Amino acid sequence: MTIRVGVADWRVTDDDDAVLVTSGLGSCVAIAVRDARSGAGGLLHAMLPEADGPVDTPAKYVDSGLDEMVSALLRLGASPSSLTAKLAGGSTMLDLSIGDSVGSRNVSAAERALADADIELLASETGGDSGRSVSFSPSSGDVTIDRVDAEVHVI
Amino acid sequence: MRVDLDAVASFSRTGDEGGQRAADSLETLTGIPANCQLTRTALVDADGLSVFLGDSWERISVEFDGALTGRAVLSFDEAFANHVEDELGVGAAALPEVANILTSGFVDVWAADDEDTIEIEPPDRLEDEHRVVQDAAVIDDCAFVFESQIVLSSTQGTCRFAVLPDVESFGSYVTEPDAEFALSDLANHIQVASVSAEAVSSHLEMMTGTDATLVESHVDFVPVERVPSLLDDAAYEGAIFESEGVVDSVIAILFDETEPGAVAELLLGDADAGAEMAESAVSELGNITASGFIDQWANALDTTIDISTPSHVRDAGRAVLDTVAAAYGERADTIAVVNATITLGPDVTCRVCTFPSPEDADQLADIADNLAADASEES
Repeated sequence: MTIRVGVADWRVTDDDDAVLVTSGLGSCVAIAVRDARSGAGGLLHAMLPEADGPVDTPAKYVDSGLDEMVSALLRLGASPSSLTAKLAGGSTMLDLSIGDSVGSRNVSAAERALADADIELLASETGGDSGRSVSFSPSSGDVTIDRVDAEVHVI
Repeated sequence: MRVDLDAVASFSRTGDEGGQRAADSLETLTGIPANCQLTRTALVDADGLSVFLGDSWERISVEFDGALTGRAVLSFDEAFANHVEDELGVGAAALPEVANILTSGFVDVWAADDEDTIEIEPPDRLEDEHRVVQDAAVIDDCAFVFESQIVLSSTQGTCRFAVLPDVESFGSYVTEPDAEFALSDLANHIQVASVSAEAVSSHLEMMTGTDATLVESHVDFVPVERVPSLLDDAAYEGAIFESEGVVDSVIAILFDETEPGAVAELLLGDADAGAEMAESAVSELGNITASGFIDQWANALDTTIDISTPSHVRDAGRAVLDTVAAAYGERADTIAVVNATITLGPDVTCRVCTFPSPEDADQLADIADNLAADASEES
């Protein structure tokens, strides 16, 4: 089953056949987290680096979104010590005077949040100047990255 | 007295929660993961309301009354309808049941913060398209629509769930106390959309020599994280500008080609023209088009607004808007987007999305007031 993940959203599953997908990653980042032993996995699509205190939409931010998603994975039976992650997104597509370097700050925030949560970052495909769509298979751990006018890339 | 844009944002945010609650209710009913991928409070030219709601395989109306009064108009496409009917196994009874569940989920959120409850009427199939417009709450030809787009995993189908609140009910959310004309002030923003769209359409027609058809124009007030869903994942070729002056804004002029090379063919007469030439032509066309309508904004306040050099893009529509939304995301939770859709011949659609800076909302309202006054004098 294909499970869609929106912007500022996360989804978790322990269904062997499930694929989590999210599209339209510009400066946003997608963080895929999985526990290979339990088969549980989750995908977060976060828009901004860090929440400034409690927020209405935790998944909008890398740090609070990852916290929330990891809690949901643990409730599904994932073990905190065996979680691993892959990271994609954070491009700089437009040269805008506002939102200084959101893409690269999102990537840094993701790397920091994963390190703080003691989750090993196995692979990442970040930066550049083009958008991405991401599919994540929790059972295989593959993160498939699709771009306009480019070959599909798997990390 | 000004419209309270924070209140519009609050309305939009509560509606966003309602849209998500509606999706959750649908997920419980069907057992299929459901997402609310777009929610927005839209100001729509009443004549274009039916077009705004999109082609539909079936529409169902559900009226409600109480803490929020109005009606929901649910537009199902065929893929969504078939999927739901298969899953629920009750045939044609499935869609009215879904309409009921979605509306109940949505109004639950509105009733939660109010002493009054909300009663909903039985679903009613909308056979006559004209009823959509006849039943809408309209001020000065501007209809107020709250829309959520609900998608189900494992299908491409969409349910567009539009709530048309009654004027009084909507006004109580978005106007300051004792503000006699504030809702009219909000309605004036539709003039910004229609004047801009007409300017874009005429400039595109002049520059390309191809018949331009204005499909629809409207203004969205949308939570920043929902902005990317204003476009689809198709590849768009276009140019992004920033304007600076009395209203700062980001302007995205994006061409969706049904056939590869259609934009190059349109602009250069050669579908196989090199990428560099096509990029230059798109940027030039975008520049003249953007200047054309931004000048009208500036003229309304007897000032000037400068336009930056463009950033060329060829990327998925959602990824482009995702980048703009994230840029504004650290400054505002909800932003206004002025939208226009224009077709150029059979193969090219132009989408223009303009994002005025949230800090310049008062100046945008002044532009809206002056454009509305000009339109009133002309009619």
